[in-house]
Amino acid sequence: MPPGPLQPIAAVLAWLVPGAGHLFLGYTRRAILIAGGVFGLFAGGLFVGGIDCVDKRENFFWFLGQALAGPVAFGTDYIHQNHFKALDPASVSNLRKTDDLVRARRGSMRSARPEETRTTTQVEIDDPAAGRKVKVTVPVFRKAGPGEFPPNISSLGRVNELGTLFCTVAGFMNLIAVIDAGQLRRNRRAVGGIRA
Amino acid sequence: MKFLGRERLNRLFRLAVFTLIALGVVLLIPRATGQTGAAPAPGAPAAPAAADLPWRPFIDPINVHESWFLLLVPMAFGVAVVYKAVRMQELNRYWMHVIYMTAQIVIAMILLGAATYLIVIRFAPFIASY
Repeated sequence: MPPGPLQPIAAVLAWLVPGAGHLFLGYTRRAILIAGGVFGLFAGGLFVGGIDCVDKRENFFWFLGQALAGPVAFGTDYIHQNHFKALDPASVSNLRKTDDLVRARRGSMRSARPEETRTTTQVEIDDPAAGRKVKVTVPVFRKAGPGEFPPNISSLGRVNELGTLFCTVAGFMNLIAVIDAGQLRRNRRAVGGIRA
Repeated sequence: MKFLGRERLNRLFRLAVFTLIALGVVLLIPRATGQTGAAPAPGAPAAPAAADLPWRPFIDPINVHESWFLLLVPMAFGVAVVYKAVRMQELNRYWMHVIYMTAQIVIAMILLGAATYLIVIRFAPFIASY
């Protein structure tokens, strides 16, 4: 079947919300099935491997595939980086100026160990741009007390691999849906008033 | 196979696939909620701290280190749901096609695994011995 006309709006919508591209074109049932499949695979990945499976910093190339599932991947990664990871207590004492803080936020943030909990601490660092010392609040791990838990448990081995794979497969299946929504090759015959 | 008929064969096939999926769910859920594993023997050292932590869905991983291969079934199912929703011209008998594709993926993976096993464990040492 020859390709239909390009549908850039449908393609963008399909990436933003899986299934939304087909919904925009009037294929309601397909949209529901695509959304269920993509979100199901993505949620399945998080269920199996935990939030550790979506990590732009530590699994960058896998994240490229996961990003194809749309903003849900970026949102999950944002939550993971900003609400679950923190600095090692040893690296906090090395913070001297704002460059150190930027470098630490890029490279030294890590997941918690089972005996740690996440907290925040204030450090005073030099701000060369302002020419004075500034106080900043940084997330840091410390040893957990009674009744305290780590923010998340890191997934390891096969469980981490499978969780990451689930989320990446969700992204690639959404890519197929994006391409299909952007250039339909389907017979647009209406069935019972609703396009099949 | 003629005595079975095509329709009966289809029903048997569907039943087998559903049984496989149900088996996977039954095996995975108790592991996810941490209900499996024998109680520690009296006098045994305390479990490590990580085992005592509460399980939070979608944040913490599930414990399927011994039955991870069963996760191939839901993954294949998810792939088939999206692929068939995009690929089929008409959505008649959609779920039948999805189940059929799920089974195709699972069987193909099992065959690929078997072929890899034969090459790595049998064929490669045989070639290396000459």
